[in-house]
Amino acid sequence: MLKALLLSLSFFLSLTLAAQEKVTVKGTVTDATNGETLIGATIYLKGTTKGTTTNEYGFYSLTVEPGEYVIAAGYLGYQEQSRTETFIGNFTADFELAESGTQLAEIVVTAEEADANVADVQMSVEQLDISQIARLPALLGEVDVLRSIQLLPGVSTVGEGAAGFNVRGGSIDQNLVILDEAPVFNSSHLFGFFSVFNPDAVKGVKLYKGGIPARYGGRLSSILDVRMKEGNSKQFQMDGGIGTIFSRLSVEAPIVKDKSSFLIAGRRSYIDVLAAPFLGDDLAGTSLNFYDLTLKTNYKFSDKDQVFLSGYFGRDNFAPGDQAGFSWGNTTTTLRWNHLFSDKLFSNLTFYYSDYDYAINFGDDPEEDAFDWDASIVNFSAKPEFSYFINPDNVIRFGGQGIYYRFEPANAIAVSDGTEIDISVANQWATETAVFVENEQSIFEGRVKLNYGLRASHFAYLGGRNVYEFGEAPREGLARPLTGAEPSERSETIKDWFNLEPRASVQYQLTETSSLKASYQRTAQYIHLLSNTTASVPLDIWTPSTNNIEPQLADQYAIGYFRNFKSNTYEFGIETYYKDFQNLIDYVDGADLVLNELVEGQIISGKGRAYGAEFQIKKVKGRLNGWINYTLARTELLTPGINKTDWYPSRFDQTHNLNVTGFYEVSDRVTASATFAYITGTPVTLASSGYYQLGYFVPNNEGNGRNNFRIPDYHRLDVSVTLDPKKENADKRWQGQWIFGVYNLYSRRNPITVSGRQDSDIRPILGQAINTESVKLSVVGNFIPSISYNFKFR
Amino acid sequence: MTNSRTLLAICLFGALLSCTDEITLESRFEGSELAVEAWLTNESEPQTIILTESQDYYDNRLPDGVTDAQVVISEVIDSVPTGNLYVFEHQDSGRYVWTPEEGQTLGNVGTTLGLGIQRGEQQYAALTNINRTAIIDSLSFQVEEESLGLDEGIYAQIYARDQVGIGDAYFIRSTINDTLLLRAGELNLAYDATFSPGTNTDGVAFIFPIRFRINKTDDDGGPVALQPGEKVAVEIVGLSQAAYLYLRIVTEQINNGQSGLFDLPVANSPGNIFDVDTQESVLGFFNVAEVARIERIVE
Repeated sequence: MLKALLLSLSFFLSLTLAAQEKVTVKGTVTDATNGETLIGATIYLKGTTKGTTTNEYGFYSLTVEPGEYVIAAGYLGYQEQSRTETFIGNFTADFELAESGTQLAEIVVTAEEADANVADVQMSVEQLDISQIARLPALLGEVDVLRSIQLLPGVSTVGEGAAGFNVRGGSIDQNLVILDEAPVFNSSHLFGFFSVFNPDAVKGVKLYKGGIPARYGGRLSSILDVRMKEGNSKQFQMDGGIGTIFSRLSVEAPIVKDKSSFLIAGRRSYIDVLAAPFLGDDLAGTSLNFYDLTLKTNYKFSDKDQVFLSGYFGRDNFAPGDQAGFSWGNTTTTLRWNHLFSDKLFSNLTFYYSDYDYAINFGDDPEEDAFDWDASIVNFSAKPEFSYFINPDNVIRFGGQGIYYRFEPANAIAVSDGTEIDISVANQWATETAVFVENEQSIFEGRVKLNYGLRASHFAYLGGRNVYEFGEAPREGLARPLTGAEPSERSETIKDWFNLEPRASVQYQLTETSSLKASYQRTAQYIHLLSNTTASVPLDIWTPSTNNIEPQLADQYAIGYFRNFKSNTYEFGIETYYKDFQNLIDYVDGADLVLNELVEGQIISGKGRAYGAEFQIKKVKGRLNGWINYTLARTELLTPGINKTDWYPSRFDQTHNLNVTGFYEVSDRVTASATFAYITGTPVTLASSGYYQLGYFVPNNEGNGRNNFRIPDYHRLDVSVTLDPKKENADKRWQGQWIFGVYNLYSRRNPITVSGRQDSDIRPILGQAINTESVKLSVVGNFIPSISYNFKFR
Repeated sequence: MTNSRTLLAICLFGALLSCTDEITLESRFEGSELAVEAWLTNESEPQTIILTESQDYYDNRLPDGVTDAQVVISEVIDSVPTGNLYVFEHQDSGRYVWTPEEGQTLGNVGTTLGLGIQRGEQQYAALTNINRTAIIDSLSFQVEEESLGLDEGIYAQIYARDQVGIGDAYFIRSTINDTLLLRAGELNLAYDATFSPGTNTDGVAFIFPIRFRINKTDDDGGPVALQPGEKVAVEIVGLSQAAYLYLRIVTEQINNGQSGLFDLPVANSPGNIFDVDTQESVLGFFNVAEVARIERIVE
C-alpha cells in the first residue's frame, strides 16, 4: 500500500515539474440570468485541441503554453461565448452564459457538451438536467427525479409504488443517493410513489452505473448525485406550482449580489386536507401528509473561497385517528467550503450530517396499554477533496472521507396492562474511512483518455452493546442458534475490514465521432438495508457489517461503443457489463427483521451475478427529439439453503426493458411528450400445493424453488402537453405554465405481484374446505389524468 | 408485523387507485405428499393424529385421508425409546386416535416423545418435548369506546402471564359460541409475552394485541363486539421453539397475498417430521403441549 502511494506521489511530482513554465487560466462558468454555476460546461481554446470542462462547482482550470488564444465557453442550450486573451501570466476568466433563447434549448435531452457521450472517458453515466426531467410525462403531473431515472437503460424497479431503484442487478440499498454530498437513506415519499427531491431546488442529477470514479464509495452498484441549486444570485425569483398531490413554492434571491444568495423550497401534499370532510368520527384527527423543505445559501468570501450551506428536511405522516401514528423522514445538512490553494489546486471540504428515522406509536392510554417505537440511522462525515489541474491532459484528484455512524434499530416501549416492557434493540456504532487518489489523463494526442484510481476503505464495527456469537444452523436455510453474548465497550473495535477498491476507465477515440470505452470497478459496501418484502417499507432498518455480517463486495467489468451521427444530432451507445457480487444478504425463512436484537443469526450470505447489454439512441436536436433505451439483462443469486442452493433470478430480474420517450415542439408555446415502457414481468415465488393443519390451509411450494414464476409483462404509455407562456409575454414578471398529462393512457392493469391467497370473505369452519384464489395486484389500475400549474415570478 | 404491513397497505392503496383482480393460473401442482397433523396435549383425553395428502393449492376441497398407516408414540430417554408406547388406531378418513385409560397421559412437561409412522415401506419419525403453557389469570370483558376500526361494544381480553425464563412460546386459540376462530388474521401466537424472540421480555402479562386477538373478526379483519350471553373459551397451548417457527411462518404465509407490495416471499413452514431414509422433512408438525383453559359467558 505504502509503495503504491509513494509511486503515485513521485508520478505526481514529475508531472508537476513538467507543468512549470506554463500559464494557467481559471474561472467559473455560470448562467447569466440567475448566477447558477454550470456543471460540465466546456472551455476550450479555439484552433487547438486544448480544452477542459467545469467541475461540480462550475470551476475550471486550464494550463497551456504562453501565447494568444481565443478562449471559448459553451454549454448545450446556451450561447457560446469567446474572447481573445493573451496568455502571459496566470489569470482568471469567468463566463456568464446566456440561454439560447429558443424553446428548443430547454428540451435538449442532454446537458453537457455536444459530444460528451463519445469523447468523455466516463462511461455508464447518465446525466439529467432538471428542465428535461420537468418535460417528462409524470404520474399525477408531479415532476420527479427518481421516476425519471427509471427510464434510463440499466435502471429498473420492482414496480410502481416501490421505493428506490435497481441499477444493473443491484438491490436498492446498493445505490448511494446523495443530496449535496449527504446520503439520503430513504428517497421516497408515500412509500415509493414520489421522491423526496423537490424539483424546484434541484439543479441536476448524475447517475454512475459503472466506472465509478475512486472519489465515490460506500455502495456497490451506483451513485446518484443530486445537486441542489445555489439560489439566484442576480435577482429575486419565486417559483411554484399547484399539482394533484403537492403544492410547491420556492424563493431564491441574492443576499449580496454576485457574492451570496439563498434558496428556500417547500412542498406539501394535501390529500388530508381534501379528504378531511369525508372522514368519519373514528378517523377524526387523521393526518396523512408529506412535506419537504430544502434550504441553501452560499457566500463568496473572495475569489478563492466560497462556502455553501444546505439542508433538507422531509417527513411523511400517517396518523389514522388520534390513537395511532406513523411517520418517517430524512434530515440532511451539508456545509461545503471551496478553496483555491492556487490557480491549479482546487479543494472542497464537506461536512455533513444525515439522519433517517421513523416513529410508530399506538394505544389509547400511555399508562395502561401503549406502544412507542422509533428507529434511526445517523451519520456525520468529513470529506476533503482536492483537484490538481496539472495541464489540460492531466487532472489528479485525491482526498478522503471519514464517517461516523450511529444505528438505532429500535427504541421501543410496550406498556401492557400497566407494566412497561422495554423491547428496544441496542444501538450500534461504526466508523468508515477512505482515502483515494484518481488520475484523469489524456494520452496519444487525446486519442486515449484514462481515469484510473484507487480507493482504500476501512470499516470498524465498534462495541457498545452485546456482541453475539451464533453457532451452525441445524439445517441450511434455518436461523443460526445463539451461542454467546459478550458485553462490549464503545471504545472497542469488534471487527474491522480493509478493502482496496481499484477503479479504471479508458476511452479510445476511434474516429471523430466514435469511440470505444471500457471500465472496471471494485466496490465495497459496509452498511446494509434489511428488507425481505417485495418492496422496501419505511420500517426497514439499516445495519452495519458486524462480526456476523460481512461487507458486500462487487466487481464490475463493462465495455461500450459510442457513435454520434449528423453533427451530434443522433447519439448512439451500446454497453455490456458483467457484475460479480459477494456476501449479498438474504434471510432465513420466517426471518424477523425488526425489533429483533438477534437478527444477525437470521441473515445468510450469498453471491450474485448480473450481466446485460444496454442500447441507447438519442436524438438531441430538432423539433422532435427523444430517446430509445433498451436493456437486455439477467440478475441471479446463489444463496446456501435457498432454491436448493442453485442459482435463481432476483426479484427485480427483467429480461427486456424498453423505454421510448419523445418530445415534440408543436409550436412556440406547446410541447407534447410521450413515454412508453415495456418490461418483462418480474419473477415471484408461488405456492403450488397446500395441506390442512390445525384447521388452517397451509400453502406449500413444492421443490422449494425461489422466484419460480413470472408475472405478466408490464407496458404503459404516458402522454403530456406543456403550455408555456406566450412569447410576447416573455418580459412579464409572472410566467405561468400549464401541464396536462395522462398516466397509463390505455388503462392497463400492470401487476406488481401475483399471489395466491385465502378467501377472506368466508369464515373458515373446522371440517369444511378453505377456498383459495390467485390474484394480481396492480398499483395503478386505471388511467390517471392530471393538470398542474407552475409559475415563475421575478 | 402483519398488522403494520396491513396498515401500510391500507394507507397506500387508500391513497391511489390500485386494484386487485382474480386470475386463473395454470396448475403447477406436482403430486400429493403425506401431511401429518400431530398437535397433541398431555391431558387425559383421546389424542388424535390426522394423516392426509397435500393437494393442488387451488383445489378448494377437503383433503383425502391416509388410512393405511401405523402410528405410534413412544417416550424417549437419552435418545432411546422406552417401553412406554402409545398406539394410535385408525378411526376414519385418516384420523388416528389413542384413548388413554383414566388418568393416563402422554407425560409431564419436559418428557421427550418420539412419533413413528409407517406407511408401506416408508417410515417417518419425529421428536419433541412436552412444552409448558402460560399462566392464565383471567378472561375479562371490557367495554371499548369507538375508535379506528373498532365499534363500540364489549370485547374480551385474555390476561395470561408468560412463564419465567426466556424462550417460552404459546399458541392461543379462541372459541366463541362453539365456533373455533380460524380466520388467518385470528391465528394468535406469543413468544414470551410479545410477538417474537429477541425482545428480552420475560415473565410478564401478554401485551395488549395478543390479549385482544381472541375476539372474532369480520371479513375486513376488524374485531367484532361480543353480545351478552355469548360464550368465550380460550386455550393456551405450549409450543416448542420449532413449533413456534413453524406456526409463525404459517401465520405469515396465510396472511400473505393481502398486502401486495409489502408481501413476504413465499416460504415453506419447516416441519419436524422426517423421512427416516432420506432425512427430508415431510409436511406437517408434531408438538405435545401442556394446555391452560378458561371459559366465561358474557353478561
